[in-house]
Amino acid sequence: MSMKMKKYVFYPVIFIILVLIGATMLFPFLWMVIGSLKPKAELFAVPMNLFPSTWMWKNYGDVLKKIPFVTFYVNTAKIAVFSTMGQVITCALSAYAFAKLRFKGRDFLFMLYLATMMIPYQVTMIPQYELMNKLNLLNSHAALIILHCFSPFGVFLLRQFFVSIPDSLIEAARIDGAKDFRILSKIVLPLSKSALATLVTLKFLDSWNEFTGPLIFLNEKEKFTLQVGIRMFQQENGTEYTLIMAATTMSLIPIVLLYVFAQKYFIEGIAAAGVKG
Amino acid sequence: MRLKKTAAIALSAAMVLGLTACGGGNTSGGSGDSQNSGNTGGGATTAAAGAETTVASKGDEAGGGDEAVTLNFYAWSDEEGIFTKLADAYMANHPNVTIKCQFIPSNDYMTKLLTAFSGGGDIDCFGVSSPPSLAQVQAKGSVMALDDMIAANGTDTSGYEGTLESIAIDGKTYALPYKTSSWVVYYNKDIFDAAGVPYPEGDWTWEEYYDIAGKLTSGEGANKIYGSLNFQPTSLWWRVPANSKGATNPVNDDELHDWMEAAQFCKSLSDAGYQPPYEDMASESGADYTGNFLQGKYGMYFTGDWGVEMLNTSIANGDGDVKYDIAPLPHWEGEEAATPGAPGLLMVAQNAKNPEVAFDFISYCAGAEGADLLLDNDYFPAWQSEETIATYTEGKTAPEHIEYIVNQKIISQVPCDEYYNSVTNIIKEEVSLYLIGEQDIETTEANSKKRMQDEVLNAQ
Amino acid sequence: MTNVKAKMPAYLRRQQKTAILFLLPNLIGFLIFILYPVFRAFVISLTNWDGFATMDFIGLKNYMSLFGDESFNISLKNTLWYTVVTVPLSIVFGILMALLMNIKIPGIKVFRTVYFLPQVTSMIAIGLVWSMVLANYGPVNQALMLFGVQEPPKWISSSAWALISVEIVTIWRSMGYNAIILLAGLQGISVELYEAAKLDGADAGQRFAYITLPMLSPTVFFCLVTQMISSFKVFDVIMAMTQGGPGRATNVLAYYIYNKSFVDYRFGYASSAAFILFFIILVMTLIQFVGQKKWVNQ
Repeated sequence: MSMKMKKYVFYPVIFIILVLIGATMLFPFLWMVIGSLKPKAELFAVPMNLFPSTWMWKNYGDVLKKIPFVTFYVNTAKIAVFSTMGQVITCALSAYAFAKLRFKGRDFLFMLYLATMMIPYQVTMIPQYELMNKLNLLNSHAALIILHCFSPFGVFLLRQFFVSIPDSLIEAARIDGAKDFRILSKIVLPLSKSALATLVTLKFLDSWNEFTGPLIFLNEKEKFTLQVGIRMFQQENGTEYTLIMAATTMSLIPIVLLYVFAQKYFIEGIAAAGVKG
Repeated sequence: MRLKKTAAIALSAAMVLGLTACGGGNTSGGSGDSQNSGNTGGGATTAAAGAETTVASKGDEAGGGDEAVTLNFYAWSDEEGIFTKLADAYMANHPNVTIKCQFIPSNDYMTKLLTAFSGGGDIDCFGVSSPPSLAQVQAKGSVMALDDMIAANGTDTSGYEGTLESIAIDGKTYALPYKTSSWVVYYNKDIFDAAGVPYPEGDWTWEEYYDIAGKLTSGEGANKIYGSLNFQPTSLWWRVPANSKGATNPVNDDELHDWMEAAQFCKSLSDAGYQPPYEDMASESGADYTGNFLQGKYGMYFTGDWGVEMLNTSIANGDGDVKYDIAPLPHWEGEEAATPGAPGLLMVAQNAKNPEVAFDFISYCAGAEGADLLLDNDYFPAWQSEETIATYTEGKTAPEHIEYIVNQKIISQVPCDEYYNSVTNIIKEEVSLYLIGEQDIETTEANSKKRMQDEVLNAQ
Repeated sequence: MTNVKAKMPAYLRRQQKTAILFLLPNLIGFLIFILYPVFRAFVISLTNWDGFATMDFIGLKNYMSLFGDESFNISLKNTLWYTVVTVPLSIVFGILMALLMNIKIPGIKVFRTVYFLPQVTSMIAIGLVWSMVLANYGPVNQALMLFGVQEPPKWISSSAWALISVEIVTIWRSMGYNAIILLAGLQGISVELYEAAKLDGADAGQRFAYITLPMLSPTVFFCLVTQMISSFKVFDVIMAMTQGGPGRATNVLAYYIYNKSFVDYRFGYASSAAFILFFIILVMTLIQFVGQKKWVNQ
């Protein structure tokens, strides 16, 4: 493709496609954010109006007044940060073993990891509750962090990225006398920055948005997370939709920031691979 | 190699032990005493055996009046305001008692409660919002019969009128009712005025409701005003007209038949154009019934007494405005006027550590003293007395006829039947097919009957 | 055992030791907190546990009864159909999106962020917006009528279209998720490979077929398996859009299991339904796992 062609035909077409897809992705999000500023009665008005008659900034104040939002925020952030850290550290080690080391029963153990992802949580909930009860971990954030740290998701994700790193690189390093821990930290991880950024983003998102775990394991309001707090606006006899929208909008700021920040590493990922690969 | 090994071991130790230890520290607040954690920590089997094992620990508290006692009380988040006040008031009079109230998001409350009971969680007393939930936890042996304690303490139950009988199971009392509810019709005065229809006051029938709904309906497209709304998607609202003549438990064939007639009534309103078609509302966007009422889109709709607070709060908040009033629930031609009401209930858990104190607390909440506090907070207490109506309506200006909430004849809306929630799920599914016009009423009734037998009654 | 060990070359023995040390931190926690509860759930599936007092061992009776359970069969059928539709489409669209997102044109960072938004938008908002978009007189149907469709579908309020509506929303939501993972995979591919191919005279199509796809295959495999698992366990989108209705048209297994556990209190029975689901996913994953040795580059 000539440069001219690229500039005047290819890019505009791509751009239009990107905008069209983007519009469908953006719309529900915008509706949520604008909805958070609508008077309650207008949210479902027929015909649909995009902008409210009066901008209800008060909705945000109401959220802060009705639930201890800041406490929930801190709790959620604590759980998400520790879960993500634990997951990245333990999973990187395991994933390296699964991808680049040979040992007996490797495939079986790996399938076992995958298999546990296949059970709906509705049936493991009570056994997990019993277990946490025995370990005296109920009503603690530790229960949630532990479950996140050891979820098989990260092992699976990183293993899939590690296998595509050429074995020749690793063999060469071994011949040079490097130990595996060093190979992991000096070769494999730097080559997998975009994979790690993906894991961090998705794991953080996962624990940030988790609802069932906190509902089951936490009892006291001071320990609740954002998702549990937001559900408090769904009451028996009616739901405060505008407040749910406002609370959700406020709650997702860190995730969007994290994602934007992680993009830096997506780009760096190419650069690193370009130089070393 | 050496470093690697140390690192790995240190890591695993940190991950597992560190977290465990820090978690252990965190839980010290709740039920810290080790003698009980042995009891509750036994997992499913001990939780299951809880009925026997905890009888022994009952004695612990029986005598003590001044000993420091902590109660774990559970309710759903709607009730946070009232039970925080009730607990504070109780603790003020009982300085040795600490009540830890846990409020769980309403939609997920039963899931949480059930997981806690099944997994050996630590609960002394708790509330549920309707009798079928009581029947379910009772059937599983999770609540304590209260008769002995009522007798021993000389607890006054005269204020409950018939409610205690309606929630008795095998002649035993397992719960005390603290609040009740009643259904009324909410109407938009402006729409009545515009249509030149007199306001519904006093006794009226469903047939009259239908005719008035027709008169109130007007406009097209964006200006359409519907006369009525008597369903909420994915709920059982449409059955309320059947409830008003006493058909509450669809397990019985004739009552199921009445429910089917109520479904037909609902569909006839939609078919005539007097209320929105069910299929237009078949998602959560249809669930915001007050929003559209506040926008002046409906002449009338019926819901429980909680509607008053919802509308008043929204109007005060600037979320919409409408001039409204309430009317009693209509009745069928030839039937007596009555409104369904479901009591909210308080129970003592079978493996409560301090059943005596837990009972004392719930009987306070559900008794005359609690009723005063409930009334102060615009609740409709289950404890009825001469003053209830007077106090309830006192100082309230909106809606004008607030007294209809408390002066209708109340019949128990939901049976104390452990299978009620399961069978109504089936009926909800079958009737939704009828309401969107995919299945006729005979098939709906036959399928409901068959599925109730196959999936619930004969399946346990 | 000792025999095998003796035959093993020294370097492999060393690797095995290293592997155990590397696995240990995660494995300990995994066995206790993840695997044990799954095992407990399996034991429960062999009983008639009601969540409280009753817990008798009844062998495979639950599993037998499930085959005659009409609601279970409907939800199983719905789940399978939902999976067959959503998994391939959300991955194919995910790959296309990832390729788009990988093009270095101005403003691409903004698009990447926008494509992430469905992951953070509240499920309630997504459900509400989509049900308004798909409403009987909503924008989609008005467009269809403009194009001459006399009777446009009733989408979420008809048995015939409800599941399809949910599938559309799922594909829309998960293609962005897959694209983010696949994009990371794309960026892990060495630029040198492309340059070498260019020197050899390979055109764009050939470069995609002989470099991009093979190098991306482990990531595609990951998306395939996780997407399949999550579509077998789908719950949230159903709750937000249809609550299983109308009738049982969108009743999927996770929804069925939830109702059997937390409405009917039949935990043994619900667990056995979960394990039937488990065996189906396991077999399909095993097929893919064995099959991947042929098509996944490793």
